[in-house]
Amino acid sequence: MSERSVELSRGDADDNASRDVASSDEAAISFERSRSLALWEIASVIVSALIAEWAALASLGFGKYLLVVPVALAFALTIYSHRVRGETARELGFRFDNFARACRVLLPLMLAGGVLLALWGRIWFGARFRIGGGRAEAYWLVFPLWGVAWGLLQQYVLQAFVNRRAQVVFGAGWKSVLLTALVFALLHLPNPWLTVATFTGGLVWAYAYQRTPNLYALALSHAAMTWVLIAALPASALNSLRVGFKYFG
Amino acid sequence: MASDTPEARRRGGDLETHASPRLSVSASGEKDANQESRVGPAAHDEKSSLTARGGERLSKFLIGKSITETLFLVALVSAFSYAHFNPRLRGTLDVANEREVSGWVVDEAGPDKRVEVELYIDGHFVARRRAGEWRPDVLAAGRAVSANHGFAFETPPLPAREAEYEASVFAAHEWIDKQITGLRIVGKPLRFKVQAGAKNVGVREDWWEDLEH
Repeated sequence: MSERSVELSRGDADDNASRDVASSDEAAISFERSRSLALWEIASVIVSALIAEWAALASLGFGKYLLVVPVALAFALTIYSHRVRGETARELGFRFDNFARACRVLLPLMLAGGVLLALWGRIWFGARFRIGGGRAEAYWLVFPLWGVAWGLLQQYVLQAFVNRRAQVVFGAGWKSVLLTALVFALLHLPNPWLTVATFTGGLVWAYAYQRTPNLYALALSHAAMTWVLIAALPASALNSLRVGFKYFG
Repeated sequence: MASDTPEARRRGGDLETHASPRLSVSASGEKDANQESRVGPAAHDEKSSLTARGGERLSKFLIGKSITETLFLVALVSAFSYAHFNPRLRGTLDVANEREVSGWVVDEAGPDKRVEVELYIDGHFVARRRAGEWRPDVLAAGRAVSANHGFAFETPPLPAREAEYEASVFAAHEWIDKQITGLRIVGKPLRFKVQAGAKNVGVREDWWEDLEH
């Protein structure tokens, strides 16, 4: 073999090695590893939320501003994860093309939920449904801005992240819907009635997201159902919707 | 496309059992007109699946996040402890017997302040007062800027017994913008015995019930 052909062979071998390395980098990881990572991602976001609710908010006075640290870490994770997994904003549910369809999925469920909440408040607590007045009226004033924005934020984390990662673990269906609802309820402990309400709401929203992923419709639904909850249940039962350490203070 | 991988096939198998809308992609790569969603395992096969490099980067990120959160928690607990348990309280319990319980306490964060102290015997509250007794030895030792940091409690009548009593003194300090008052022990608890004598004739075994607070 001539010197030139040896060099060529070496060059081919180097190219092949580079391609092998590149292809192994680009190859999809194993199903088990993918599931483990998705579970780890869900656990990591839960830990951040629990640190925020139970540790950062427990530091009264100046310490409460430290809340920004776990919240920023959680959002850094979600955004980085979307990027690494190649998920686009549209796929996550930031879109309008299916808004009407999402509303059609959500409306009957919301109506049923509203009636159930009103009955729950009436039968269990002897409370009257108050469309205006008290905290329901105050919430109505902030509904368009704060209510929807807060709903969008929560639904983004819950559906576009937790629900999607739960689907990596369990696939679409009742298991991932249940896991999403359980996570949502866990983050509302130790407020007992709010935990029950968020578990139920979590089931509905996770199901609706799997049917029709639209975060704007979910945010509107979230804000509306929060108002219905406040209007249906007495303030003493909800303790100002406080969760985590603040529930006791 | 990831649909050829074992992972995708397995997920695809799961998918068929669910009734949720499915994404289908035409040969040209465009979505069908009636398709709705990209979520679900099929979507994850294509859009939420990870490459080996991506998985590694995500793992590293998660490890970094966990370490950061652990450090944050440690810092938070340390800062909370330092701010609210007042590590700058100094003092000792010098004497504890059937006549008196005495010592001194200084808050180095506020050397002029007269610290409030509480006496407990066998865990029962006995009395509360400001530490403002004359203790020139504390001043001489350089532990305070004035000599008025001593405290002295008169030991209440206690029934005579073979077993020892334990006296503890706690310094009160305010937490969290004066919203909560906490207690921090001064020095170490001291033990003492009580002999039968004139002072404790007729004192009940549950002596703390007779104390006036």
